[in-house]
Amino acid sequence: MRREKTFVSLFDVFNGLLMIVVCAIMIYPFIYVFSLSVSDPAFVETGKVTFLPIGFNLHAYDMYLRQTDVVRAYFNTVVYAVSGTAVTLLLTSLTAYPMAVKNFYGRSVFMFIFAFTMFFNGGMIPTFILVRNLHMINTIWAVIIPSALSAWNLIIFITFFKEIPESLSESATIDGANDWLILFRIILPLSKPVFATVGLFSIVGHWNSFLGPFLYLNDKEKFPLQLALRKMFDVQYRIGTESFLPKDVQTPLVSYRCAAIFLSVLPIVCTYPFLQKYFIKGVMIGSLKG
Amino acid sequence: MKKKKFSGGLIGHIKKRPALYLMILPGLLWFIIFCYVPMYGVVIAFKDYSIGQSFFAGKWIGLRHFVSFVNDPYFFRLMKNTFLLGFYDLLWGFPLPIIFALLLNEMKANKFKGAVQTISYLPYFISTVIIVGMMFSILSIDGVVNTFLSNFGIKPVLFFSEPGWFRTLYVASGIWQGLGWNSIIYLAAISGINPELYESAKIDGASRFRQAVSITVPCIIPTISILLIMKIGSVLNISFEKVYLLYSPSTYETADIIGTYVYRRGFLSYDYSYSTAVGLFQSGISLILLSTANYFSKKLSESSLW
Repeated sequence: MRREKTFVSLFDVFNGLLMIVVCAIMIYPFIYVFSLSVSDPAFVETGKVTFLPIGFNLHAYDMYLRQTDVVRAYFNTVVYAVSGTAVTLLLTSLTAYPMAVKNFYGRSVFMFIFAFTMFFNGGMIPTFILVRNLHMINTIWAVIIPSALSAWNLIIFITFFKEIPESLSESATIDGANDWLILFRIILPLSKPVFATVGLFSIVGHWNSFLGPFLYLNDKEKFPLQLALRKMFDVQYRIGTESFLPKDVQTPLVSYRCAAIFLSVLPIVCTYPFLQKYFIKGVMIGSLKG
Repeated sequence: MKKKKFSGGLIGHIKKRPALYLMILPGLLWFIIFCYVPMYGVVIAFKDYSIGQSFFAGKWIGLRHFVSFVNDPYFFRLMKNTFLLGFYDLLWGFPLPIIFALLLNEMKANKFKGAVQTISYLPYFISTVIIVGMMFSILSIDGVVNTFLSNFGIKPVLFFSEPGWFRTLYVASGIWQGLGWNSIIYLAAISGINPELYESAKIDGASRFRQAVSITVPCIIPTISILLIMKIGSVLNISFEKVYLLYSPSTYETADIIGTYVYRRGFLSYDYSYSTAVGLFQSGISLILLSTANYFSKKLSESSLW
């Protein structure tokens, strides 16, 4: 540990101020968007709101949450996130366990097969054609399956599994346990941290996912949150009854959109500080190994 | 990486521990179907392909699509935009997290440092749609920036319709999103530096700045090199999502990249073969860039990807 100096130099002051500025820049958009969503419509429409709210009303939120297609979008996102993450965790752990077993024959070949995909992929069009030929277009499968696995997550799992002492599996084998039992009774219960890390990344990924649903889903009723949000921003001026936008004209479009943004980031902003360590751990393992 | 030959030994091993191979089977199939089949699928770039066929069908026409692309009136614009966008992203977006990590490392107030880190990681978890949405709000005609400018008598700037602003918006939002998160790996590398190096430097009377320049930076050069190689290799792989969400026909001049062109030609005009060829062209160039960067890094600093 470096010895702590007790005096503060000019540089430290400068550094501290710089950091405060950086933090302010990071936070400001959230505050601005929030203010736009709760301020009095009169001030919003004349562009008077710049930082803090002026006036306070929740009309925009009221309209936003009354939209059935908006609520359904949230519901869809939760369904996709939960099922997608379950599939990811199951499949990734199943695939990773043999790779972590000592003397697993063929491991380096498999590793090459998996790692190669980190550098090369078929691209947007061939993947789309594949999904289409598999008749997954416009189904939940197109949202879950093509993104179910990644070499990245696999490496994180393999690294973690390797850390588990072999003595545990060895003594189980002596007791007559087969590989399935070892995996489910011994390894997995010890794997809560890695499940948390990969699981959280997966959930956040699904929450934020736009491109997959954009390319593969056609029915409005199946849209997840980000796709719905995008639809709200697509129109410049409201003409009649667009999807995901309220029918009344009282709420300024700006306030409505900002309410939408705010309610979409809120879950992330609220939960993420507590889960930070999982994400960081994941990145470290993944980057160092990769 | 060695490639083991598949001899009778494999069958023997499968018989010995069948469970392991059964476990890896679904995942293996997944990689084959969803990663390698599309890789094979790029072969349609060399064929006259129509939708609904398998990747094996279609008349072979060789490099015709590639030739068409090079002669495409948009070819130069697409290459220029894709390259410049990636280049500016590299130029500004690569060094800043490193500097941020170095400055963060100098901070002594640990609680403050922790708070700064937490706050700086946050933008990374925000989706592209929302970031673009925020940008729309802040930079709109009656958004805070234009209101501010009007106080000085400057006319409102249409940030999203003027080609000149696109690159700045793209790169700046990338920095906003990635500054904190990308500094993590550098901070990790810095924390791995042997403290004795600093001790002896202090005894020799080195100032903090001198310590940073002569100890910290050289020790993380290997990390920087690897990440730099990877970044250079992917300089052309611009995030389709952000460009697509940020651009509009009026900014195509600077905003239209190979990826978005591939999207329009493929999904909106149904030219599947042609757009795949264009995408493959981009991958080819990326590969050349990656290999070149790797080669030079090996020569100059002994660290490389392969």
